[in-house]
This record gives sequence, C-alpha cells and structure tokens, in this order.
Amino acid sequence: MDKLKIKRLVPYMARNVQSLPRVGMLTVISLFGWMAVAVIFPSTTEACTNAQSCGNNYEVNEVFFGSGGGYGYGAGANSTCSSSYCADEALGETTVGNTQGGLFQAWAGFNTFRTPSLTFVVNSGNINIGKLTPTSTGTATTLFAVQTYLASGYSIMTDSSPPQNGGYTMQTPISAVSSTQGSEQFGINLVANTVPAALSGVSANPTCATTGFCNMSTVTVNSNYDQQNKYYYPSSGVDTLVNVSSSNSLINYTVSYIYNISVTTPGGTYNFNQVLVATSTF
Amino acid sequence: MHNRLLALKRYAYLTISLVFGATATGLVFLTSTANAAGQVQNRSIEMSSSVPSATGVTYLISFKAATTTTIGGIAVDICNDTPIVGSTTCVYPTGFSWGSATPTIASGTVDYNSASPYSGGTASAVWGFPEAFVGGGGANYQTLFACDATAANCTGTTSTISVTSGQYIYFTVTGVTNPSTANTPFYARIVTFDTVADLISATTGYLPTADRTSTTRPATFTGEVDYGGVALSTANTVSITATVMEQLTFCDSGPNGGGTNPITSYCAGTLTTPSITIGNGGTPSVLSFTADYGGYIFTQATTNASHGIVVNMKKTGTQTCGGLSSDGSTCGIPASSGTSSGQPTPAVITAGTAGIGLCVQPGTGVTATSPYSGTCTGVPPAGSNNPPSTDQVGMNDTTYASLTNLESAYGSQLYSSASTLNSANNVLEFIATASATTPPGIYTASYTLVATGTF
Repeated sequence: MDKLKIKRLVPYMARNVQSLPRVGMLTVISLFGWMAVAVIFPSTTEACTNAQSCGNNYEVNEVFFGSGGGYGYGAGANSTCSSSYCADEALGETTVGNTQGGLFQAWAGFNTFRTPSLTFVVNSGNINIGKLTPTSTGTATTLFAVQTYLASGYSIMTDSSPPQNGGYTMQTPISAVSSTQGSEQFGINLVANTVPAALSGVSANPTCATTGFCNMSTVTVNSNYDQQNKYYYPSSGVDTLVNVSSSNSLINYTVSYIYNISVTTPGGTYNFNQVLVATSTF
Repeated sequence: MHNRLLALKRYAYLTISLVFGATATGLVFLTSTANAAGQVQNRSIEMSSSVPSATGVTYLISFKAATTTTIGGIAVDICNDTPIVGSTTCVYPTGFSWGSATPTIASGTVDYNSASPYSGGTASAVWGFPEAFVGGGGANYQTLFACDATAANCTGTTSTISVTSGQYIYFTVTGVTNPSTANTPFYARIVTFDTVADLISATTGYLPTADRTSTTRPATFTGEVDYGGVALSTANTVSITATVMEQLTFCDSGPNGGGTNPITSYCAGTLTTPSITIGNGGTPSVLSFTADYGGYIFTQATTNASHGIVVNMKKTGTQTCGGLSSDGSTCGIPASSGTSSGQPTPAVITAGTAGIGLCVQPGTGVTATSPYSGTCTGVPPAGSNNPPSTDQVGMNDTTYASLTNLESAYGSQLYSSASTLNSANNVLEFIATASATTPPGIYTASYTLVATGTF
C-alpha cells in the first residue's frame, strides 16, 4: 500500500505513516489524558522526516479523530487533492485552537497545516507628520500584523536609529515617559493612548485579527512599550518590542509614535525608517 | 491490506473508547522543546533586517540538536514554497542571496553550547575554519553549506563536532541579501549531517550535483542527522518624515527701570529701547576725564541653528569712525582697544584717555569675540552706574588692521556660538571716558546688531 488512506476506513488516522515499517502492534497511548493521542509504529531504521514529533522508535504526524473533515491529503480515489488543489474538509469540526504544556503543544481542528509558517505584514506607505513645533506634539500610527503556526513563539524587534536630520539624531527618553511639549522626545508604544489626544481612538492594544487560534495571554509587550500614554525608544535603535510564547493566528499591533521638539531641536527634515524584524522559533 | 486496516480499525475503536471515553477531536501534535529526536528544536533564524532586497543583512541561525552525535556539516536551504525537509522542490525566493559563492560565517565560528545565543553564554567550543558555498539556483546562492574544513567548498581536512541532544548550535552569516518582495514569508530548511563528505556528496548529499542548478531537491540524504524548517518574512519599512523649521529669535533691550535685564525667555518681557546715555548720572549725565563710565545693552538669542550663530555690530550714521562723534564725521571719543600685531585686543580704558569700548558678558553657550572678550562683569556694581575700572573692553574700527570692523559690510563680530542656543542672554557693556582736551558737545554713535545662524 503506497498511500495509506486510513481516514476513509477508521475514525482516526495518522498521516505519513506509510514510510514506516509496518511491523509490530499498533498502539494508541494517551499523552495528556483525554486531550491527546499518538499513533506509534515501532521503527528502527526510517528517517524521521516531516513529522511533528518523532523518536528513534516512533513518529507522530497529524492525528485525526471525528466524523468528517480533515486536511487535504493524498492521491488516488480517496484523495481530497487534485493535481493543483487540495480540499480541506470541515464537516463535524467542533474544536479548534491551541493547547500546550511544558513540553508539547497541540493544535486542535481538522484544518491544521503541517508547515511551519510566519506571516508578518507591516503597513507600507510614507507618513509625513508635517511641521513640528515646540508647542505641539507630532503623532503617527502604523500597523503590523503577525501570525505563526507550528511555532513556540516569536519576537518582534525594532532595528532602526531614532529620527535623524543629517548627522543629528533626535533625542529619546531613557525610560518610558509621558509626552512633554517643548522637550525633545521621540518615542513609541504599542498600546491604546489618550495623550496626546491625537492618538486617542487611533492607537490600540494588540488585538486578535481573527478568532480561533488567538491567545493574547501569550503576548508580552516589552514594559517600555505597554504603558498607556508613555513612550520610549532606545537610543541604540535596537530593542525587542514584543515576545509571544506560542503560535497564534493573526494579531494586529498598532505602533504609536510621538515627536516633541524643543526650541533648540535643529531645523531640517527628520527621517525615521523603522525596520521591524519578526523572528519565530519553531 | 484492507483486512489489515479493518483490524487496525477494531483495535483503534477499542483503545479509543478506553482512553478517551466518548469525546474525540482532531489534534496535531507538536513538540515545543527537545524531545523528538531528529527534528531540531528551538530553531530560528534572526535577520538583522527584514527590508526587502536589503543587502549586508546578518542571519543568526540557531537550533537545538535533537540527537547526541557528531556533526560534520550543516545545510541551510532557502526556499519559497515550503520549509518541509525532504520536499523535492525548493522554489527560489526572488532576490535572495547568501551573498556570494563563499558566504561569510561571522567570526569564523559555529558554536554549540547549552546556552542560547541570546543568553550571552560563552561557547564551550568553537567550530574552526568553517567554509560555505552555495548551490541550487545557479547564481542565486540559495543553499548554504557550513562545515569544518581547511579549504573552500568544504574540502581539505575536515572534522566533526560532538554535540549532545538539547545543545544549541548557532552561527551567523553576514552579507546576506533579503528576498525582494515585501511582507512575504520564505523558508529555511536546516539539515545537519554526520560528516562533511555526506553533506557535500555529489550523489547522496543534500544537494547532488545534478540539482545544483535547479529547484529539484532529493527526498532523502545519506548521513542526515537532524532537520527542521524555519519560516522567515520580509516586511515593509515604516517611513515617517517630520519637519522642524529653522528658527532664530534675537532681541535687544536697554535696561529696565531697575537697571537690569528685562528680557525673559524667548525674548518676552517688557523690553526697552536699546538707547543708553553714558555719563556720571547727573542732569545732564556727562563724561569726565577723571573716571570711566558705562552703560548696558541686553541681548538674547534662541536658535536651533545646529552650527550656531554669530552676532555682529555694525556702525550706522555718517561718521567715518567707530567711536563717538559730536559732528557726525569725526570721532572725538574714538574706538578704544589694546593692540596686538595690528589687531585690536581687550584692554582697560584709562580715565582721561578719550575712548569708548565694549565688552560682551556672554551667556551659556556663547563665546565673545576679541576685542570684546575681555574680563568684565556685565552688570553694574551695586549703587553705581559705572562698571569696575578693571573691566577690559575693545572696539574694532578702521583704526585697526582688521577687515571685519564696525565699518565693514557685515560689521564686527561680537560673539558667537558653536551650536543651538536657548534664551542665551548676552550683555553688552560699554565703557567710555573723555580726555581733558575733549571738546564739549554731545557725542553719539549708532550701531545695529545682526544675528546670523548657520543651520
């Protein structure tokens, strides 16, 4: 049997077990009580390739229980794939999402993919704040969104010098501070703000863009950037903004920027080209 | 086989009912820490920049070994389609390059240690003489081989490292060029090999010779130890532009009623006409040859000129000299300075020697210019209209060889700053005296002050 189509025959299936030696006894064990199950085939020679988990003597891939549905697979009469497309079925799918313990995490649902992924989208476009004065605060916001799958988490870093005007670099606070007009300040945060008023209603806390696999309790915004109405940016330009300790569906982050100048802030055009880097650990 | 599956079915039903009771749902198992031998854990590639097409980017490749064994080489393949190791295609991410045919592994090391590269741990050992080359996309440099070898392309004398499961292996590649499409994920496939020979094998290695100019990849490799996929992503750069206008605020004033500076921050306050009468304070206030007399003008400068300002004083009126004139042409009380090499210098005015001079008492960030840089108090002594007789003054007019005198096109420089100023107060202290032969009359002079910022 080149392609094992257990799915159509039994109410559970293991995918990609066809490469394992079909000897010994099929055993189903519980790893997390009722939460999880693993299909184990004794194996001593096969490479552990493309599995979500494996050992010297076993390999675990995606495991299926339920009345219908599943991730597109295979070829032949029972395949849900054509040469160009695979159908992901959702019949009877009752539970979706992620659970994890100290050593393992699990994604529930039929339509789970076995490919690690990282989606990182930063809104493009050039923002022109316009003229800054010592008696006003320049503000701006931008959005970025991150989604990971089969990951133990991700971090978002900023790696860009503060706004620069020729050889002059705008001053930044040494810790998260309130916006103060007349004092030279450049800072950012990632939460909903009310001061300056211009950020009220346009700044926001990190939010799930979609329901389902989104667990905001795993999202930790660096303390310098998670205080309402307080702003910070490192003079070095390099800092971690966000750490997330699990896979998540798309989470939207809103970055708020403030610009304050003093009477001695050198005249000219200040450019800030912020490079955000997402690093996911799988 | 069908019977076998039916048997499996029965067995599974039984077991499931025992283990799960009535409820079951679909689950995908993942390992989040080292536990699955073969698949490297905690694997990541940190980019120093996510900007599309950025060059000179540094990639920090890090993962935990899944197997306790020896490792002779590491393949890191950059693909656009999937991170799954063993996939038989690897689509080239447009624009990506490891940088050259011999990519640079920073510091020449492949480190392995129980501490992660982020924890600052010191490597317990160093993989010396790593070399790397690329293949798979022709000139695209999408596949990197790292190995411990004494010659390029993983040749020469090679050696292995011994790692234990759970140890971090990490190395940094510099000079990488990111894919050119913004906000787009791409993937890395990481495979470790037991020996260099297995890594670079022309037939059974990660990238057999036949695949080195194509997107084809073998499904299996001889000598594979561990493997893992990583997802990365490019992203747009956030560009914000703000403008700060060049500004210069400069003002001057005579004293207030109390004889002190009336100018408050940013040239606010109740300023008075900068017109002073120098004399003994009587009615009328007159000069004599027995004493020095003084008067004060206050100036203030605020500017964001990053290279500072200069403030010049220029004579106005019809007289052809810089001092005080009673007839509008000659200076009966001339400009007074010391002299050094024909140039005016600060000096004390001697009572009875007719002359007028000026000293600048500079504020924060301001430097007075010779001959106005003498020692002076800048404020009248208590109970007196007259400055101390020891104050040094000067006045640069055509009497001296200087080309930048009071009569020149831009006047004589009084003071300057090297950078921005915030409400810097600068006092102009004038001192004058008459001689015993100075003709009586009303002696006057008019000057203008010009502030110039360099931004």
